[in-house]
Amino acid sequence: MTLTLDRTEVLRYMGHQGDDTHITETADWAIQRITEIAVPRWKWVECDLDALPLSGKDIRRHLAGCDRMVVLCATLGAAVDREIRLTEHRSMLRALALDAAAGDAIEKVCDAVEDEIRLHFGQAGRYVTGRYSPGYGDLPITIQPDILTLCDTARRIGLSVTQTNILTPRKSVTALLGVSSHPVNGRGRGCGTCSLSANCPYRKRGTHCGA
Amino acid sequence: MELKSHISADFLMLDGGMGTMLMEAGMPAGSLPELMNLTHPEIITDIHRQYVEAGTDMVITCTFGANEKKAAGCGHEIEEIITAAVANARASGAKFVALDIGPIGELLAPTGTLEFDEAYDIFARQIKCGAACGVDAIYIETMTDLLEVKAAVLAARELTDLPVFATLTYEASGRTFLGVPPEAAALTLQGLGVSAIGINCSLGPKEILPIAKRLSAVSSVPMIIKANAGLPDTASNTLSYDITPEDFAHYVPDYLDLGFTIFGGCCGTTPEYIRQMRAVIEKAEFHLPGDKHIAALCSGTRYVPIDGVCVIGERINPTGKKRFKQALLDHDIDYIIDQGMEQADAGAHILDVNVGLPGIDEREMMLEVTQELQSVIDLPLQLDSNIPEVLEPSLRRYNGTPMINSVNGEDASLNSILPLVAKYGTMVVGLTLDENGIPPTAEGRVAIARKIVSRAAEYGIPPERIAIDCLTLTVSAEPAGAMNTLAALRTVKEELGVKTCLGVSNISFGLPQRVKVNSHFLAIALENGLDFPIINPNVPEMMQAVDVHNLLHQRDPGSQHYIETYAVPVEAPTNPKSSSPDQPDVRTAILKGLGEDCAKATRALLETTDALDVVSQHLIPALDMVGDLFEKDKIFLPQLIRSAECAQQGFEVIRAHMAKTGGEAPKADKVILATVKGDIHDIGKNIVKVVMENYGYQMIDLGRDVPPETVVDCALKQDVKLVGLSALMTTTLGAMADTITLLRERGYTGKVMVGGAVLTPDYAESIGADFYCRDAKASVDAARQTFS
Repeated sequence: MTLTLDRTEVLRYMGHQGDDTHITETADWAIQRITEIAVPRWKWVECDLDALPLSGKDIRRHLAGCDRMVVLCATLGAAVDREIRLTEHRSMLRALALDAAAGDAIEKVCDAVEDEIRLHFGQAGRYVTGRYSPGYGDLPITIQPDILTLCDTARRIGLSVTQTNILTPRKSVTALLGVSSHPVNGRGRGCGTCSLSANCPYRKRGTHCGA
Repeated sequence: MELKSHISADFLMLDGGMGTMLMEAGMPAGSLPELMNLTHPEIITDIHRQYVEAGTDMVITCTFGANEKKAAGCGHEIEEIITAAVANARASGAKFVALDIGPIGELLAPTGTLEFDEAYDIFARQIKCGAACGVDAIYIETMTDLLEVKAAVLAARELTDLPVFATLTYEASGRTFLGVPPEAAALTLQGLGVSAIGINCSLGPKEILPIAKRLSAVSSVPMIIKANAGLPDTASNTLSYDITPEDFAHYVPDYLDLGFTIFGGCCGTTPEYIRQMRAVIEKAEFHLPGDKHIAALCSGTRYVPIDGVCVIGERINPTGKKRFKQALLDHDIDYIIDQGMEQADAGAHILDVNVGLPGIDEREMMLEVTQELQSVIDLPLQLDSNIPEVLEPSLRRYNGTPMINSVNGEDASLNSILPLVAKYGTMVVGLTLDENGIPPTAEGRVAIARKIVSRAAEYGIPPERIAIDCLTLTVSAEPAGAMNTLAALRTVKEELGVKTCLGVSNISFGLPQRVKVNSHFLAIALENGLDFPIINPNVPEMMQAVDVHNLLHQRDPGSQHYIETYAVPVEAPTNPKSSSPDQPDVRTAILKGLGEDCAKATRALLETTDALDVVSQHLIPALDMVGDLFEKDKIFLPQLIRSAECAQQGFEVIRAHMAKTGGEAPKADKVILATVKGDIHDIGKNIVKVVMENYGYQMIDLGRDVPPETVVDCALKQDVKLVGLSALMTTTLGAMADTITLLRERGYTGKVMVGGAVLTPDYAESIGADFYCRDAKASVDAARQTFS
């Protein structure tokens, strides 16, 4: 997979506004570096809606009208974590930029896999919702271990989860997409469904995190 | 030991994909296959039996995920599952039964949060039970982290006498998901005494072949191949693979040619695959792999064969270095890591780690420094101590194969160090001295080297794993010393087949312009067969001697390294005293983030101004100005960090100046920072650390995933007045509240500041925090209030 990252997004993740050549150059450096070292791996599985112990209203709403779902897992791999850790010792500014670029990269990977999934089902005349991840709305992250087991991610893509349900390697995403025989939009993402919206630093600056 | 003798005399046929067969038998995806041992023992035994009928000698129990993490909450103890699984396997009538051990399912630190000791305990529980049930072997497979395999192997070796088989799973890139190359796996696992090593899963026999070739080049023990039935069909959720049993068996001769003697299958391989392979092997001739006499070191991700000059960086050592001693006393691990990174950048191949200093716990410090170094630098390490109690905890938890520095010719040293070398499969430096000191003659030193080598042989340690140090004496005091050392070096290398090692710079002690003597002596020593120069790689002349040596001895293909390194002339060092008119002052340098300029301007100020005044009148006001701009949204986080890092260079000049002049550093206020238990998001906390350090606070960084007890112990013991806690997830806020509660319960009277994306001021107040910090600048304000 060829990664094309978006400098504006990376700068936004870094918390930067305005014009500072050195900072934009640092963002460009980070984009280049992440493109070199990230090893995107992903796995998706189509399954019944009851294949996972889903709880909360929001995911139900997201999957409304769907008869199947796709469980998607993606990661940039451990080398990215290592590089950020190493860079923190050299330059925290560069580490911040790498962290931001990796954040954008994993989103771009998910976008590409979502396209692949959409194409796959589209050919069969089926429709797919957007991605909905544990941690959005009232879908708890305690479901991560079940998602990873279902997709056999430890063996297939090297993705694990900590005791406290944090994905490792760190730059990784899991998401659920509904599949239906008629057009569906899902619950959608954005600040309206986000549990952090009350105190979000991006919102305070009049922008959003991109989720 | 029937199995051990079997594998040294004959092929061993393993089984195929248990998961595959269970799915065919109707087990739903995502369920725990191990439970079938209890619910459907007849199905499990039947699968084993089908493999045995197809030609399997050793079946592997259905216990891949039967560890206390993966099987948590399944309603059964792992002992129940393992006991049933071994019985089910035995019932198949197989000649041998091996206990299957898969990855724990959580990643070890630093990528994950699982600690080595916890991993060891998890494996130990499985292995004890399996051994009690009478299995014939421990079979560790599908591993991707060398440190995790090491934990499992150590548990198996320490708790049983059973043969241990270990296989990792690689991607087509030739590395595991966590970056382990096959050579590093082979080196470390053989060193730990496993009976057979190999490759399983991920790929088909065709894709694995190049990786198998690399493995076979370094393996001296029997090798295992257990490939998938090709690659999975790309439609993501099907179970089919793209190679037929006939095609699968077709690859067997390629593996026989490489010396593989243990065969089986992984995902997608049914009994028919085993039958077809068996038919090929029946006609083949058995050969054990020969001893490869490998001299090498590795970390989890880098393999360093010792087949040319390997520079050992000597800078992580407090001897004669005031700044380094201060860092050890202050527990300034970052400074120590920076010494490692600098040497890695300068071209060192191995880093020596010496942290011995009166007044510190060397054992704890050695462990902490090696773990921190391994989390950021992939060079192999040399653990520099002659105290077994200092070495062992670090050897145990070291990811890869390190070198020990050192053993010497005294019986007490040999008896205490060599067992560690043997157990952990390391290399070792052997000093040619004994209870009578350093022999003055070359012959005397060679005699001690002989003693070391022969005693090592008694422990099964071959000469290629020993680096004899013939000891450099100071030439100004011992005029004949240099040539004696080199004569001894030549002899031990030729006669004993060992590697050689020398600390070079001692040669010039007491002389002017030492680097001239050091670099020339280094060049001669290399010419005499020195493998491991222990030097300061940051001194260009030393690395130049190595680079030229490699060039002249055809160890630099196409002169590429030499040309790349020296094609651009080195810039003449600028004289720090000459401050040109356009040299920015401290304030401008910090605002614009010009680190070099900040260092220069600080140096210039130090010529006329007291160090403490430079800090209070120049550096801190400049940082305050930057902080103000940040608060007013005139500059943003990246610029704030940049200014902090720039100021750091100024502060480093101050610290070096103070260490040199012996000036009393002001007593810094201590601040603890920690990402709370369960949370591993730490970039925000680390930004706070960088910014606060510049305001003169002594930051005690406890890291991430820090238990409440650790925070409280440190706060009370070190009499800290401000504790900063970070949490980035709603699910870990509870740990933050617990930490604050425990602090108060145990009588901590200082302040607590908290931060992290999910926090709100209200929540911070509700859990008893004194300060809610929205950003790094707010933490500085909190500290100022606390210490005002």
